[in-house]
Amino acid sequence: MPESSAFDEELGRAIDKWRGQSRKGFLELCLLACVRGALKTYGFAMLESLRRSGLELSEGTLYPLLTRLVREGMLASTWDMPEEGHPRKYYTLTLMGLSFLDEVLKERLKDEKALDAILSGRCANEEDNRD
Amino acid sequence: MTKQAYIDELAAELGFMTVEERDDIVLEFDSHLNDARESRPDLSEEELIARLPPPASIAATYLAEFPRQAQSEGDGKPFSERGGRPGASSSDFRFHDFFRYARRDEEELSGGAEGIERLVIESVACDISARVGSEFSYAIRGRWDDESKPLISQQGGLWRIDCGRDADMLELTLPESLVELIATSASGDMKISLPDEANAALRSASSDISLRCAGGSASLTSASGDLALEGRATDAQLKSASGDMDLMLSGVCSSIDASTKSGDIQARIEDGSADVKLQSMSGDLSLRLPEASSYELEAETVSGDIQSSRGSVRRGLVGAKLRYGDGPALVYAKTLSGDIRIA
Repeated sequence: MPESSAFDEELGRAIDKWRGQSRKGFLELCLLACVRGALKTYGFAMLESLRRSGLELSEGTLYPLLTRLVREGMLASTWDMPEEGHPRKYYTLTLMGLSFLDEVLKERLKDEKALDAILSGRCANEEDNRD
Repeated sequence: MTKQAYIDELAAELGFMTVEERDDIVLEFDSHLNDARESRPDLSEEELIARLPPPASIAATYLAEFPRQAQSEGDGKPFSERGGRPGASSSDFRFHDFFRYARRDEEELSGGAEGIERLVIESVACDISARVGSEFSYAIRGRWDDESKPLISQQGGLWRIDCGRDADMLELTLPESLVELIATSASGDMKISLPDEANAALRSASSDISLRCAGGSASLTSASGDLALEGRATDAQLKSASGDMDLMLSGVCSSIDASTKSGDIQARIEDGSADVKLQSMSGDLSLRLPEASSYELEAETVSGDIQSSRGSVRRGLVGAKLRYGDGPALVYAKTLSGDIRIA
């Protein structure tokens, strides 16, 4: 049916748009959490560990995002030049990054609980629709 | 596409950024490719490059993230970059700095002794300055707490100074008895004069190192800081990723070896006859040799220019060989895209 293909297209666009809006902040969170887990890490290792966790991310997304997080004071970076091997840029969390991550994870947990409640119909009485 | 072509194209696409920012990004992708090659030895260089996004799309993301803003002081700049040293990277920014000044008083630790032979220093952000004097002394200042207080220990002629994370400045006087100085720093600058025949090994991540040598050997390593070396050195080794190098040496007796990825190298050699090796990937090399010296010279570049005031240089696709007299010393200069100038 022609109508169904137009519907699919529109749905696809809507999902893409939503993904674009929500993904950026989500990726930031994933990167900060990844650095927190590793204490000190570098781009390639982060990419590998994020991919192992099921998060597909391209180099073209990762590095600009890391640069921004450094500029915003969430991450600190230093070049390390080992005696053997090649130089690497290492990232660590700043106090600000750590506090930011803690706060935002708390908020996210709260939002998720709220969404669960909405989906399960537990808040039916006083619901007001934001959209 | 080869790795070099990819890196060159990325650098060209990032033309809207400052040279420092661009070098940093290009080096990070270079490092990423080295890691990728180590982790997937089964893939060829071309296959690894094919897995990366095209340079233009990477540059587009950077442009979207960091549109060029008005560069006036403070305006539009992220918080972390305000008020820093010119050229300081945002990695130097540490959030707790802003609180500790309000909280703590400035402290000072000082002392000294005779008979020091070796000195080992570890610094995070503490600047280190050293001059030559008759007795060993140190004075270290900062705003530390019990946990981050500097640690100073001595074992015979060996002294060790761990500056801790909150020290700002370490001032030293180094006597003739000193044989060796080893110092490591993340973001504290080093400005050091050595007594006669003392050797130094200095390493830093993003800080600048400036060393005056008086007959010992010198090894300077930095990822992104600038390196400067002057005086008399028996041999000198300088290594950096993106920092510039400035060498002004006299009476060198064995060898000079300086290599950087994207920094420029400027070397002036006043007298003496040493083997000199200068290498840079994308930086320019400028070398001034003593007048009337006798050197065998080899200069190589892939796409840069070679200029010599000592005679015409014939350039092939790669390399040019020059011979001045029949001196025993060898001068070797090599770049990928940087220019080479010899006077």
